Amino acid sequence: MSTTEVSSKIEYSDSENRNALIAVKSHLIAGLLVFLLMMLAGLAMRAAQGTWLEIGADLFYQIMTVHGAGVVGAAMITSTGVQWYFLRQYVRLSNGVFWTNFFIFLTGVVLILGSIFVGKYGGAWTFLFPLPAISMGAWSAGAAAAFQLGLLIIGVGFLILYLDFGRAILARYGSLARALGLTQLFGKEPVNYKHPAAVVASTMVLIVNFMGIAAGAVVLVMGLVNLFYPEFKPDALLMKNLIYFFGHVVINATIYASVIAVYELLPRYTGRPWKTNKPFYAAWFAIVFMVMGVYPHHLLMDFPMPTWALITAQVLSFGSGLPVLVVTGYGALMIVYRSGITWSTSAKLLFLSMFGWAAGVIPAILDAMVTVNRTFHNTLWVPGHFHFYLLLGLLPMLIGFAYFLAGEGDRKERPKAVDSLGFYAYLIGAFMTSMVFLASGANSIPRRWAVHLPEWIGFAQAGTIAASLVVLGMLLFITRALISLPGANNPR
Amino acid sequence: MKTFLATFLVVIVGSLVLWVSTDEGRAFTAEEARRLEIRETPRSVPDWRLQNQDAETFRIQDWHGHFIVVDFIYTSCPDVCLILSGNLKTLQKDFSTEEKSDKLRFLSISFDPEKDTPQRLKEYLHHFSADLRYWMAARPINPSQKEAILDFFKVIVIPDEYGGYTHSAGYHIINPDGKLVAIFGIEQTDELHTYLNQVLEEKENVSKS
Amino acid sequence: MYPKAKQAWLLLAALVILALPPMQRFLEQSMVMHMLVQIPALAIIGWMIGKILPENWKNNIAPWNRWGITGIALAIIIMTYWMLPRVQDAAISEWPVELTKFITVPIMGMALGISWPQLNPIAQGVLKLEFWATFMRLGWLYLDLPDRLCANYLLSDQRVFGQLLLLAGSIWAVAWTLRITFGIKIINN
Repeated sequence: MSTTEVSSKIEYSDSENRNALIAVKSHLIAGLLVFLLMMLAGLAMRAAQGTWLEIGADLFYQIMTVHGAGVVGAAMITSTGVQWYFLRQYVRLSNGVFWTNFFIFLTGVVLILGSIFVGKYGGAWTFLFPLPAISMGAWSAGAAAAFQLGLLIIGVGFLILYLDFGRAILARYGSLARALGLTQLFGKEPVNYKHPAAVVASTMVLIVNFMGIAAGAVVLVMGLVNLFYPEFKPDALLMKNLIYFFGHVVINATIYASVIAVYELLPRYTGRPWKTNKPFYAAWFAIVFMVMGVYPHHLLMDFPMPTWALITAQVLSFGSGLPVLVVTGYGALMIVYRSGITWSTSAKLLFLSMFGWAAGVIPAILDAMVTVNRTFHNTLWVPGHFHFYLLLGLLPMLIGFAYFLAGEGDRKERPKAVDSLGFYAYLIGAFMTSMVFLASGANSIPRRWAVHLPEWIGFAQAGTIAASLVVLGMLLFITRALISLPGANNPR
Repeated sequence: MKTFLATFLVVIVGSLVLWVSTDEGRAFTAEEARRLEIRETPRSVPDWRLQNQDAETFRIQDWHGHFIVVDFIYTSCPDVCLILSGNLKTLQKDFSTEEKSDKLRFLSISFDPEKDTPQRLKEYLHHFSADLRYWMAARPINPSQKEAILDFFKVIVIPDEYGGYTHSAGYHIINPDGKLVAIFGIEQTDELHTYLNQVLEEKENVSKS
Repeated sequence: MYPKAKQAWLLLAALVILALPPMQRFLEQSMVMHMLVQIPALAIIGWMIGKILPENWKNNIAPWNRWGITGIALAIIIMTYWMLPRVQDAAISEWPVELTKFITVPIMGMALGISWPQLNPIAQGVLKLEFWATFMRLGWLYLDLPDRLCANYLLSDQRVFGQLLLLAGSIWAVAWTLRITFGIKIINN
């Protein structure tokens, strides 16, 4: 295989391309709509904690469950849309498999929604054993089972999609090691600056998500067995480890899938290529292991956990954000610096995502320190940590991509006032939401409480205002996307 | 088309087979199956002659008109049987009012007749301070009868690695008409208690009216 | 033709040897032997019989088994059936069930052998992961269940079986990972 061949793009027929574009748009629209709904759910929860809205505790926990599951699901399906859009340009992917996953996903969503709003399941999206089985009458075993079955089905759908990724990547590159650039990193092959970043990132995502889904397939079924055979009591700590491995890997991977948009789009806006090199490969190779090993930083309060696991988690947390971030952040700065880039909304959002990702590491690292964690972990600090990542890191990538796909770059138009309003409302709202969570955490306000003590209500009200700003921004983004996405041609 | 037809058939027939062979998804293990089967189709207990702790011949028919709780034991048992019969002792205490205890009988059948002589059976009962009027321990008189009894109750006994036995542990309820009507697992003592309360009361009402 | 016929006789002989009562008793006295030796042996015999079936038989089956889906469905149903603890117990105490086992398990192997190569690589991947997960799930279940699932086997036997399943699953996972990461083949395509 010569180097020129490696960098050449795959040719599809026109009808295949049209169909693929529709599929990607469906993923984006469905995902962004779910995000909007979940933000409304979040807003409702904050308002309820701030005493501005009356919600019963049972409904609060149902909303909390749907908010968690919904955001993770929306993050997965939207980031997969981004990833697939770019990956198919380098390896031959099947439209049929892409659609199959989409519809399996929707089936799972229906099951999950049914379990929550019909079956009243409110045991949080992490379905931590043995909570789903001991609802004290709030929901039935059937409702908890439907929830876990929904997740299981979604897992199977993604498994099918990743197998197609794997097949296609192997067909072109022979081994995952070569697709990751390891052969270049270790000097078996000369460094090829045109080796696509999308392939490297997709290979990493494919590996970790495959492992995550495998763990999920085991732990979800064990949970189901426990629902119907209460005599079977699996080790709760092992269950928790597997659940967090599954959940943490899957949500982490979404940001690594979406960052492909940065690699692919910033070069377009600046007119400079994104060159892959040895530090880039090394960073992505390291992240394969870090994403899988870092989840115990959510288990630091589980004192029966072996000490080595906790220390490893702390060390990995310190390191995990850094490799790709440094490579990507530095790369993004270099590519933008004095390039005469047009600051379209898409470019602004993508650049914002770099900041969100970089700054999001700080609360994460603080939280991952064992000593800090002992007082912080069940506080709102942790929602602060992941809202920072998701609102300021992940979502800007996704929305930025949506703007790109809507054809903003082709028309060379300057952002309209509406876009700017949306951008700043979202930016300020998202930043405030996260900071209020972090401040609440620093003031020892617990997470997952439906009703807040009087002295905490001020925080919740500030959070409500922040969340309404996010919703406003998102609403403007979505309206724009809904208007211009469906009819847009494939960007050149 | 042929393929879809064939697959469809295989899946339908297969699911039916699985459905039927788990009693509509209710019994996955042999133990669950035996409990379910007895609940749905009670069976008359044959009138075996056993030898009891006083070396007398005992026939199940002798206790006609009473509810009998049967457990299977061997006297050198270090674990399960102790719990099984221990629970019987608690039951005997709970139902010790004159009118109830007379309607309820306990029978511990040994599946190790070679070792469990009447003397050892007696010691076994003493160990649980059994009220011997209502609680009897007995052994089969020959190997073929032992097999017949175990087969009838679908009790499976296998030798363990310490020279003892591992066996199905449960309470087998024979009703006053001499029919095996229910089986409770060792973990279902609460259910057993409720059940006995209920049937004894019903019987009382029947005899009064 | 000659070597095929010879192979067929060898396979039949293997089946008969497995069916001999002393052999049966020996293989069924422990859960591990029963589940990890006898049943896989029967399945492998079936798989090999499938390979040497006359061509015209295979051609007759083919239109009913495009992409191998009928055969795989059949195999999965038979597999599920023999995973029911009560059926395993019944096979030991009732001869008609035992006979069913000696017929259906080789059929399962045969169906797998004929259909697997025709199956879509992605379906193969999903099934492989599902089989692997079943190993881990059952292994875990057997280790943690407080009670025996099979009335004919000791609890300690069940525990050993669980450990072996987990061990086999782990080895499988490592082998698979190594091959995908550094090797060429992922899902036989």
